Amino acid sequence: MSEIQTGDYYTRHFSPGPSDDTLIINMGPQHPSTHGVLRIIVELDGEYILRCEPVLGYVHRMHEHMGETKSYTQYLPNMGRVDYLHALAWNWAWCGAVEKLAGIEVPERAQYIRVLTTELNRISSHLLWWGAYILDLGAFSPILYAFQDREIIMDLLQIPTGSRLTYCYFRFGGVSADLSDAFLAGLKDFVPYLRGRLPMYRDLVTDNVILRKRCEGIGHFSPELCRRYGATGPVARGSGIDYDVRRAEPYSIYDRFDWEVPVLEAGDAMSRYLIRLAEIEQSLKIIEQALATIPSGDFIAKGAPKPKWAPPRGETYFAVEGARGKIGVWLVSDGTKTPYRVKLRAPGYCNLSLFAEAAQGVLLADAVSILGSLDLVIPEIDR
Amino acid sequence: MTLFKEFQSALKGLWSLAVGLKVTGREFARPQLTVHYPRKVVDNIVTYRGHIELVGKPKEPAVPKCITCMMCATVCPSGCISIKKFPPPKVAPAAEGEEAKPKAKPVKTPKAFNLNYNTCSLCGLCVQNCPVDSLRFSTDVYLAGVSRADFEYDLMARLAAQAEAVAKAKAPAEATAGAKPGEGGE
Amino acid sequence: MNIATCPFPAIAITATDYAKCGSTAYCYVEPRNVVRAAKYFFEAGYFIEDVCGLDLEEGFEVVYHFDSFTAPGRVSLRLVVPHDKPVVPSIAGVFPGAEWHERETTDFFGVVFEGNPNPKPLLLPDDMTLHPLVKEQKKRQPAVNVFVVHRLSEGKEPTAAKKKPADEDEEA
Ligand code: SF4
Ligand code: SF4
Repeated sequence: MSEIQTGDYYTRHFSPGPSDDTLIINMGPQHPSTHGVLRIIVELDGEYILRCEPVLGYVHRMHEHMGETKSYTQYLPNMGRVDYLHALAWNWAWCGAVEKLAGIEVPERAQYIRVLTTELNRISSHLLWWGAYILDLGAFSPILYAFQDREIIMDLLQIPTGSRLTYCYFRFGGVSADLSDAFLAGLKDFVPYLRGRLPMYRDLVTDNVILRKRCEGIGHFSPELCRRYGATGPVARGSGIDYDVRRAEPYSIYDRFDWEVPVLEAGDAMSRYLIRLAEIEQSLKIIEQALATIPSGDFIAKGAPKPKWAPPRGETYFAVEGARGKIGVWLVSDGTKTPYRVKLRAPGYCNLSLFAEAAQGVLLADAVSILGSLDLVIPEIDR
Repeated sequence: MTLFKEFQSALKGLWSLAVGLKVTGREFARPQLTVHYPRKVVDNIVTYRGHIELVGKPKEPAVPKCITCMMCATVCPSGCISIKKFPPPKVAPAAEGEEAKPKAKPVKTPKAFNLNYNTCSLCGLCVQNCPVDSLRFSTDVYLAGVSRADFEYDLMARLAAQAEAVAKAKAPAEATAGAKPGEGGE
Repeated sequence: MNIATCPFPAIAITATDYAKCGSTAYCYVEPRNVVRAAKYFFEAGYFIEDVCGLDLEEGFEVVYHFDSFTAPGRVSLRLVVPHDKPVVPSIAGVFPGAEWHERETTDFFGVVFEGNPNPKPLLLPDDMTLHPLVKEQKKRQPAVNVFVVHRLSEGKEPTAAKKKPADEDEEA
């Protein structure tokens, strides 16, 4: 666009509504409830939202272009930065896509290691969401409880991965380090510990009348809405869609464990809340079984690709279930050392896209509750 | 009837607050969990992988094992490792009459090994791909600086300083060990 | 799905090996038929996964991934538009979720989605004219160089699914 632009985003893009009595406000990009740098332009009639429009791109880093300039191996650390809360699922999505394209077998033990660490990471992501969501709704102390438990997970995951947040742990054909006895022992203790903490979460927050009043019946998403916008993960499952990539498109060894996909029909913010808490329990269940059956062996395949390796040409799509929904990687290779095209499907992006429709006609305070219940991680949405 | 229901739900709500307060009270009586930095530090830093550092040869701790294969610099996604090699030995022109000198062996150890920690993404690819295990992670976690230059490390100097510190720590130990010969070296 | 029974006009449909490429079928349509195709997928109960672009020698390939909540099986709907006139009808009227994906593709490739209700830059700045994922002419690869079709062994599929649509579109 070459002509000189005048006015702000609103005057350029948000043409005046039908009535003069409306008020347009900005939520974000520094609003605490937008979890980072999401900006939402809201048109209000009194306290009610007439329409709203999310504005993205504040932390856009063009990860997809970086994928076309780096080698396959060098792209690995990018994955931890796309979604810093569930970094290992993104690790897995990228490694899985490359492995699928090149037909690399992952050793049995590495599969277990991946399941253990990814599920642990999922719990830590849900715990942080839990604390932050309650914080959005105005209660400060629960996030401290969540951090107390999350701290243990981060200490545990620090043992094999060496980092605390932006993990870069998976490699093509396995993982970068074996699990130590300290990790396994710590994890064994952690499972009953967290199980014991969950009733406390229920007493402190879930049953609390204030939370109930702010979540129940708020932000109702119909299954049809989720389908039209491609929402997945806890958002879809909270609306009665029984869909989990771990079961729908089974990858790795998830079919060996006995676990359930929690689904609730209500479709309101409370059901999304309850789904995530139920998922923590299911992840604990998977971890428990994987711990009991983890075999010994290699943690990385013998013929794992060297850094300068090039996969065969072709294309593939690989999806995993992240804490926020379906993470997809579409990979096109022309047989050279750098990918020809990498498409990252971020679940938060699709989940947020339904917000504009779902927030029409709700109270502004409820919109905060709906936003929080979507579990937004802005770097993942912006990529 | 509705009035009764209203009362009932209000009481239930109040009770849920009391249950929550009970949890708060219980946690209030628990000992403190956080650590008072900098008077105290956490104890799990050993597993932390900080910036990379060079590993010395077992015999000469001030000389890195590195053979300047440049693998780490090539594989690094952020391009934060820069290595300078020693120039290849000059072959002296065969002087008249004299027999050609045996060719000097090229020096394999790096002349300079610098890390720009500002851009490092801590991925571990360099450590993993070093053929002679000349790289490892440090556990430096308490880092602070006022400019970017503070995080541009000269890893050769760091290794030399480490080797010196180890030697110094060893020296008094050896002095005492010297009194009882036979228990000295391993 | 099969080209003979396909309810919307398709150029070619190839049943592919799900285990290898993650899709059960590639379905090529002409750009003007994409809305009809999207309607079919909507009525068949699919949800939209994403809309991606790809810069090839033949033109921009736009790939729509549809997946189903009930029966696994991703279908990838594809079309090719020429570099000099990259215009595709928008399917945001059918799948409103496609709106953002289409805007993203416009940002990255400059492909214009006609009829998108909100055709503004989404992820990139408003005043950015560069489309970062458009490749230089010499770096572009022809479709035959990047696609290996993992056909299902059983059944009869139409042949030459790869090159054909691109050629036709360039002539059109
Ligand atoms: S990979 Fe190891 S040996 Fe090679 S240059 Fe780096 S540190 Fe030296
Ligand atoms: S850890 Fe990764 S980013 Fe850092 S120096 Fe090594 S290869 Fe480079």
